[in-house]
Amino acid sequence: MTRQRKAKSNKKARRDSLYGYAFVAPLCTGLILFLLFPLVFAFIVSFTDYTMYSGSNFFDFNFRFVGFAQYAKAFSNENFLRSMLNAVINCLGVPVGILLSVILTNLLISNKRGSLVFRTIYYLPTVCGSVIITFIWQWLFNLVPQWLGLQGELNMLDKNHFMLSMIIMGVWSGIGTSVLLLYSSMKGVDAALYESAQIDGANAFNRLYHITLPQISPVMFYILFTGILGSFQDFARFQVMGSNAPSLYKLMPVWEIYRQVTDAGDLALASAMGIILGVIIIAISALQFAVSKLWVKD
Amino acid sequence: MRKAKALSPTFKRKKKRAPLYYVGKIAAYAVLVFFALIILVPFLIAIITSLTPELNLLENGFRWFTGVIDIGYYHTILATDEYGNIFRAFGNTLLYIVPPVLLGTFCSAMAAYALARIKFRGRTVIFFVMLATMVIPGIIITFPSFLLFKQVYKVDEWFPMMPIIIPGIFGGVGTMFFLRQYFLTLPKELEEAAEMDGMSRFGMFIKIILPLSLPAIITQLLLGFNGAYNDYLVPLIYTAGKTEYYTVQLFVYGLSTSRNSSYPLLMAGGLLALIPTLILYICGQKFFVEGIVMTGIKS
Repeated sequence: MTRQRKAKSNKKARRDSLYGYAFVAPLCTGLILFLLFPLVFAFIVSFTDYTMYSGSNFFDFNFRFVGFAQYAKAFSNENFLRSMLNAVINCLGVPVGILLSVILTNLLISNKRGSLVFRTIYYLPTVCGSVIITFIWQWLFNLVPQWLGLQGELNMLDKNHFMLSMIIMGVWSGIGTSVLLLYSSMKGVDAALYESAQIDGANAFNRLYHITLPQISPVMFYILFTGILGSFQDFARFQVMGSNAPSLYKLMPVWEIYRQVTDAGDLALASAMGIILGVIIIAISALQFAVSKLWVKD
Repeated sequence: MRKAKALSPTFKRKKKRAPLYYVGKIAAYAVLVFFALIILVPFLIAIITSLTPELNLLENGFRWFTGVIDIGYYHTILATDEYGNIFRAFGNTLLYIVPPVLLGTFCSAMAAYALARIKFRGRTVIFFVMLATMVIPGIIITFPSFLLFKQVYKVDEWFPMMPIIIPGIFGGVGTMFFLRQYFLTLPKELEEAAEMDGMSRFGMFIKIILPLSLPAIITQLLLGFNGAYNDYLVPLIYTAGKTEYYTVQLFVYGLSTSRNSSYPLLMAGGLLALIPTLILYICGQKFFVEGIVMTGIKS
């Protein structure tokens, strides 16, 4: 009897695991074909001198292995280095956005009436396509000198102001996400903590600093983390704002990689650049995780 | 009884509020409204600009009230082919995004269900390997994929824009993770009862799990559609300037490089392209807001 039951449950377990494999099969296939293979391919190509000129097929093997030459080329490429610097500058918008959204969310939490309307409005730019948003801001940046009475003197998109303008636009279009995330995490902060703090005579600033901030630190970490990842890979709005006419001060790493492929067909150099960028991004992520142990409450 | 009565007035008395309280309220709302205006005014300026004749703009600069409403730009974009056909761009976009979003969400849900509920050897390993792939920045694989599609998979010989459509059809790890979190919260008893009735795993997935997780599925569909609709880099690479394959985003970009480009034209095109986004956002606002929050909490 027990043996029979065991055999039955064995059969069921086998059938179950078959279903399990069948259910994960499509996603696994997709990951292997469109993530693993391209990744391996990127590594291989980055060690060759292959270019896509004249439609030459990679699998004709008309190329040489050149070791780390492409990586060396990437590191001595002025455009690429400058684009990295621009990416770092682009990250400056992330803390500004967090600060602003902490203030706004605090106001929303203590003034609940209409908060859904405000949150919906703040989030609006995030759902809109970046091409459209960029054109709207390009036009706004054209109007700013007119409004300030500095026509002909100020150009918001010139060498000295381009990154600043992009950061302002980035904060504007990204703030909604942070507000949404912070709002839901602040709403979850235990009200009893505030009450006891009030009894102890803590003022609004103390309450924010000692109670709210530690409680919401995991969400702040998430916003900082994804914000920096996004800032490093920013592409569309820079390419559109730069009107497809790259100058050093407008470049972003992804844009430079895109240009290597589309202008020069240099997939090898582009792959090397992509891997460098990827390693830097992963390193920054790891660093952020390490540092987060110091300020993020579990 | 009497004691309670004696106490209750003190509880019931409305807190007396100092005038400062109202000053604070007004200041808080002033800040909130101010920021709401900062978000909304650029859109308003875009609308006004799109209705201003370019000559007006060149002569007087931007004016809030021009006294004229010129729908000429909308007319040119919608009714003529001077800048390409916007309706074809809408059609292309639908063609590129509907199959991957629908099928992709289904595949992700299937994997999520298996990884949440079905016991099989290697489940944990598969799950963590999948999660680990999320660290890989997309840009590393974008261009190698381009070459693989052209030279190995060759699906573009069948239809040139296949490389935009195909990868998404297999689902995505982010969606899988989100749905798995949701499936884990569903009660197990339903599946046990279904098993008694001799229902297969696939049956349970289709008839029990999916209907129960409809809010989560809808959230993922909306986020998926919105993301794919706004995608720029991938269509840019594969269309390679061939306007007949343009998506809406590329159509709008194309307006800026056309011969008679002007800001009113760009604004008109951009606002037309925003209409589907806005409809989706307003109808599914609840799902958007909750979806963002739930994806954030997973971390």
